[in-house]
Amino acid sequence: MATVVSPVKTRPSIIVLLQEVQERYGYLPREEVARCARAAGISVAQAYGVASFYNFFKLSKPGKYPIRVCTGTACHVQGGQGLLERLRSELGIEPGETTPDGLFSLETVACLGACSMSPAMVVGDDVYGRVTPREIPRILARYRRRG
Amino acid sequence: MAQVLQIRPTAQQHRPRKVVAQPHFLVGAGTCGLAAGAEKVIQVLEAELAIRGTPAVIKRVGCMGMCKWEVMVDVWLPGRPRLSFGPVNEKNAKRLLHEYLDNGVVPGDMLLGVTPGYEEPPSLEEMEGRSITEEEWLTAPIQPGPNELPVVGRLPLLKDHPMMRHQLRIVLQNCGLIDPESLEEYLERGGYAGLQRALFELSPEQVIEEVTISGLRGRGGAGFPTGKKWALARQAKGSPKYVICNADEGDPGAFMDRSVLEGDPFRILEGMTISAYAIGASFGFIYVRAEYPLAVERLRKAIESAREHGLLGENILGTSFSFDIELKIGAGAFVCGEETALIASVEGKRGMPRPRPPYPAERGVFGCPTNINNVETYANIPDIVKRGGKWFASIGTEKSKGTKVFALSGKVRWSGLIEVPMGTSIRDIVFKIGGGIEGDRKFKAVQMGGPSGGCLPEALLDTPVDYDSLVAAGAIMGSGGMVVMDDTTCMVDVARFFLNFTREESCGQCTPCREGIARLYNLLEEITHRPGWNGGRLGAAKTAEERAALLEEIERLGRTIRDTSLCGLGQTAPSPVLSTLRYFRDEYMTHAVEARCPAGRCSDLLTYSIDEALCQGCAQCARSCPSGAIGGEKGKKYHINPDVCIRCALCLRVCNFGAVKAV
Amino acid sequence: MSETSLHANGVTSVSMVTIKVNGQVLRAPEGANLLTVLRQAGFSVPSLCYLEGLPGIGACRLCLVEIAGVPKLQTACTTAVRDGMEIYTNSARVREARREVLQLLLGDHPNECLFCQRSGDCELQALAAEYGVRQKQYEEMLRHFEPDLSSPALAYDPEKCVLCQRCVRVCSEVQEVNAISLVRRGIKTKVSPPFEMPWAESGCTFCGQCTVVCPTGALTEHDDTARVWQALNDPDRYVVAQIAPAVRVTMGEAWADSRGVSRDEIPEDFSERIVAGLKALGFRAVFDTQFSADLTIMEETHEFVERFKRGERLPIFTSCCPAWVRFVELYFPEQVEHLSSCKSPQGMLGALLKTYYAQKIGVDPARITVVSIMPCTAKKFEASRPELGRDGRPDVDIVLTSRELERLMAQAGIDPGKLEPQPFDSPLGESTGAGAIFGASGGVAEAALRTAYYLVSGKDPAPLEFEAVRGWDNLRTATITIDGTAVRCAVVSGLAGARRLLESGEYKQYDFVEVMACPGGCVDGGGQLRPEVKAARGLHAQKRAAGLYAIDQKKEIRLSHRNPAIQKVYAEFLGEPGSSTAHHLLHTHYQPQDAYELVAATREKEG
Repeated sequence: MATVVSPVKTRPSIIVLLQEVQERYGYLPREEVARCARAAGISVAQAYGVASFYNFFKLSKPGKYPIRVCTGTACHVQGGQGLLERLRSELGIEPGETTPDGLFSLETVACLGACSMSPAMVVGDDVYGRVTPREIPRILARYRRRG
Repeated sequence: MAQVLQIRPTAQQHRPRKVVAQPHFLVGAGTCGLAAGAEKVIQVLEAELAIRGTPAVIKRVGCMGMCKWEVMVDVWLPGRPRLSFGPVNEKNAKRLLHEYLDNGVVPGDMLLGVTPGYEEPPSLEEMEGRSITEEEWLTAPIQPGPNELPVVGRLPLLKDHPMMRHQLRIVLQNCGLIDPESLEEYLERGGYAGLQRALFELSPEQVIEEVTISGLRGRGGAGFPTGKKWALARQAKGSPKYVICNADEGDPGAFMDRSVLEGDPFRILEGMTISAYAIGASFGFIYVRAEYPLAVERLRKAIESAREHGLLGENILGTSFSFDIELKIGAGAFVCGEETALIASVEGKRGMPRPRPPYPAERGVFGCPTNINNVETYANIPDIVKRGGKWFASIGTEKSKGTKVFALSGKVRWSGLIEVPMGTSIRDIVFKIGGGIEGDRKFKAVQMGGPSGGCLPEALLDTPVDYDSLVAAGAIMGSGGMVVMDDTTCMVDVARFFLNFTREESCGQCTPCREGIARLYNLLEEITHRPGWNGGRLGAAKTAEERAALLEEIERLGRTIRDTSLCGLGQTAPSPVLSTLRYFRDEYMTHAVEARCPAGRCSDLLTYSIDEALCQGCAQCARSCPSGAIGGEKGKKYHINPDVCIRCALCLRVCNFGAVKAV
Repeated sequence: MSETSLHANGVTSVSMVTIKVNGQVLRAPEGANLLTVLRQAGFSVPSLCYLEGLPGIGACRLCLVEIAGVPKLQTACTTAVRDGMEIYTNSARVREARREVLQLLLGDHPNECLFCQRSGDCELQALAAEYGVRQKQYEEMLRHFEPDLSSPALAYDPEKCVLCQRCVRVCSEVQEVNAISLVRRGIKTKVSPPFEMPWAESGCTFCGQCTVVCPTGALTEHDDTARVWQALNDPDRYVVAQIAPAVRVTMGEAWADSRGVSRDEIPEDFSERIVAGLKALGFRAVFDTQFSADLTIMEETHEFVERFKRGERLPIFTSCCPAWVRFVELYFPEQVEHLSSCKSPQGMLGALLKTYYAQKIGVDPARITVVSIMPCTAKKFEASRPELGRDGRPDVDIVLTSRELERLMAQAGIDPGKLEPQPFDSPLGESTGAGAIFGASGGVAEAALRTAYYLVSGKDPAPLEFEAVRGWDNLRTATITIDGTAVRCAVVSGLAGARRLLESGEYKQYDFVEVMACPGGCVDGGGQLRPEVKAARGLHAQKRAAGLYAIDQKKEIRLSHRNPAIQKVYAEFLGEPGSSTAHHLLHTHYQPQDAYELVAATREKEG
């Protein structure tokens, strides 16, 4: 018991490496996950398995215009789900993801506090109330034009 | 090394510090104190003291646990006792300085009591010798001011405060009293005397013996005897061995561990070091949540300081025993509170539990024998070793020894962090320490153990706080969350809340937990909504009979998940449902069969109307109604058309006159 | 390298104890896995996650049993046998708990049994029947995922996945490729390549071992039977087939029952019955991959002897296993130079069929459809590689696994077990014993050694058998002395062993390294018929290998260079081994691509 025996540590823990990346970038870029995996001596699949397990890690870069769709009670009843479905298909992403062009990211929120305008969503800083799924392409086009 | 020996504590050297040379201001700056504005108070103090040119010391200390009185500031003037004040804010901080520092008059409305100088936690006998009776406290004329506390003839002691007087503080003994970043203050309070006794007077086996005699059981929830756990780890073949401190406190509404880590970090290091000596480990990890940045910071500094002074590292206190500690920051997963999941996470893997046996004592982190205890368990160790297992065993009940820390919250008058001897009744905790129910409403239940625990009804208020009684009652000791509920709480809603939590936090590995909890949640969704909601997608139950049958299904599925899940998370996840179903079945029935929520919580089951006597005709409700269900004319009475109403409860929230009723 | 291989039974303790199962007394090794013990003793205990030979993980919770004195039901797969244990495997409580767990799994499984590839061969379906499930308790699916059909080799339908982790564990603990893992958590948990990227673009080697262990229709071979029908029904197409060695000792398992032959015997050579079956379906000609295995030996041994003499890029790595080739390209790109430049036997035969054979029969190669019957999923990927084709057309058009062959015959209502055997077509149908043993681990090395011996010494070896390279360990080594020159050989089966050999640098000690990606070789390939669910893994493969060695034994000619058909094709068409025609048709090149870079470079969704 004369000396401190450090843990078997030939390779750093992937969690620690990913925490550093997240700290630096605010999310986990793919090349960085691959780099960390190599440094930790594991496959990228294993590294992604770890990264996607923990809440702390963000797997995609937030879009330039984050879209937040309200799933509060009022919006739910007024067809908020329909908005979400339409956004999913228009953008080709799931909540928590970002479009390939980096323009939009999609997330759901419990309540935007805009129940009187339900169903509601926020694109960037703009609040949209009483939105119908049909209007979605027009709204998105506005931001695409802006780039 | 010379430096170490110089400050090396011995039992005789502890000298309670009775006097200070210059004014000290000790500000409660745990996470809760900070949230209450501790930094602003400190700024005011600094500015004011600078104006006066008074040399003074301002320190940030941990949390006393009296949330209602945050920000707490202890003022300790030369030649005076140390006085606790609260709640202190930017405004009254100036007055505090003016009245007390400048003029020597104690502002009675802010005074909480005299904080004793450094001393050992009292024995049970000592607890009896009060300077003031509770009767006196409660009947003395209350001075004007927000804190409802009397000042009778002489200054009261803080420990006689109604919230404090029924407490016995071992784990929390230093929290809020000492500067958590000062090793010196920890040593003054008798810190490291336990480790010293262990290293110089006891063999590892004798340390385990003391812990065994103490009767200490794991404070993380399940209550496994700590001495036995250590003995298994000591006997286990394999090296190196590890100790781990589980500081991944993830229950919503629990903050016991956080307060200890923030307020008394050296205590944890000492407890772990003793454990390492006892089991023969030379390395340890503290697995702490990333959500606790202050605790991480304090631990980091404490570890550094302990290393500098030879209390961690090679040859601790000059002996041949070596031990060091590394911090592991969690990445956000409740399931990592489960010890095998925690081990996986320390190893850098997905935090998925594995079946036991083998237990971590045989095969833990990196496949090596590992002892895992939680923060509160380790926090008890220094005093057990210092004062002997027998002393500890004299506190508590036959099978549950010592004290337990609880985070008391919910509909209670005085919420906060409390520590009571095992065996204290829940009634005493809620009504004496917690001051009863807020707003004089009716007590309904107390939830213990968070997502793994259960709800106890009024009839079980006299249940003593000990492992076995609580399990028998359908709750668990848990890590110490205690949420008090009154008659405005819907028990079905509470169960659904916790299930939503465990649903999100299930690791997804085993079938019953992954699939079952999601199904159970859906069943609760079903009975907290009107029949046919969501297009009947979740189920076909429409008739009253069919909906009543859902209760049987909930119960059966709950039992399946409990009986067949792989780890503790899954096995206990149905507890919030099963225990509420056991004690509040009528409430479930009312939801399911009558589609009604008596507590008025489940908005889809309520019927909304406007009390014309109270309506002022402001049109606020009509403007906010998303479905246009509210009609009327401005300045006159408004009314709700129930056929159009979508029960979003928005009108209820916006009405300034309480005119909207939901039943 | 004495790692516990998949074929070891994991029982290390020798101390026998007495346990009681359903009242019946049983002797069992102390500490042994209870599930294995129960199954071996004939007690039926279900499990979807347990894999014989690997530690139990208790994930599916179906192997719950009651143990006297233990309050909670225990998973047998994670329980070690203790003396005096009293176990109930089938009590009402146990059955009820299993039924509940099963309902939870079924509730989140699509109602697609009618259309599912695994219908009739699905472990989940079988359990539903065994537990008398006649109604779904939970109607609504909780998970919604899209299927991944990106890869030519594998098909993945995550909604059918029961998250048993068998595939992940085979990929990590057996193969150590780690191309897939569990991702996300809770109800969103899924098995997936990194970043939930398409399978085709991932670090997968397509060995297909995952498809062998998958209990449901979640992970399967990419089904190409429809393409075969399409080709057969097209009057313009000239459809021919080739049959790999391992297939002929496997298909009896599918069709044996109809002939009343026990599965336990050493399997007979089914090749001529398969030829008959394929002819009955309308194939114009059926050739033998064993022929091109002989051809591979000619080319590869020639290359080896040349490199050996010059001491160039040694050791030579065999290149007939496409999953192994992919593995080197992805994970050891710097060692690609060691791979033999020879195409695999499938590739060589494909090339000859579209050139030499096409000329011979006077058919435009564009009209010829070559269908390979392989024990392998990676062969589908291999056939899709652009290097293995000419004029923009693949040399092999369609690859069917053994499992698809079974399906194809069933679709046609043909039981080849009942058909009169028919010989392979000439001239690409004659083979030697050396070609036959290509299907078992060590077989390529042995066949090569037989011919190398001749090439170096001018004499045939005696005896012909090189026993040292046969067997079931994942690494076998032998030094063969030919005319005073020592040739150091290593034979590896399973990619885990291959990784260790390369990572440690140990490969440098050898001159000739044979690797087959699947443990045991092609006989246990990723496209092979699945063994009985509860059988000890590996045993069936050992039997199949024994079948191949029996074929070798019975062959009159057992040396590739003595194959008259081979001699003829060289005389008529190729010239000599290593000639420029041979190089053009029978050799290939590789595409080293670091797996970390490959995966990181795939287009990020978020740009």
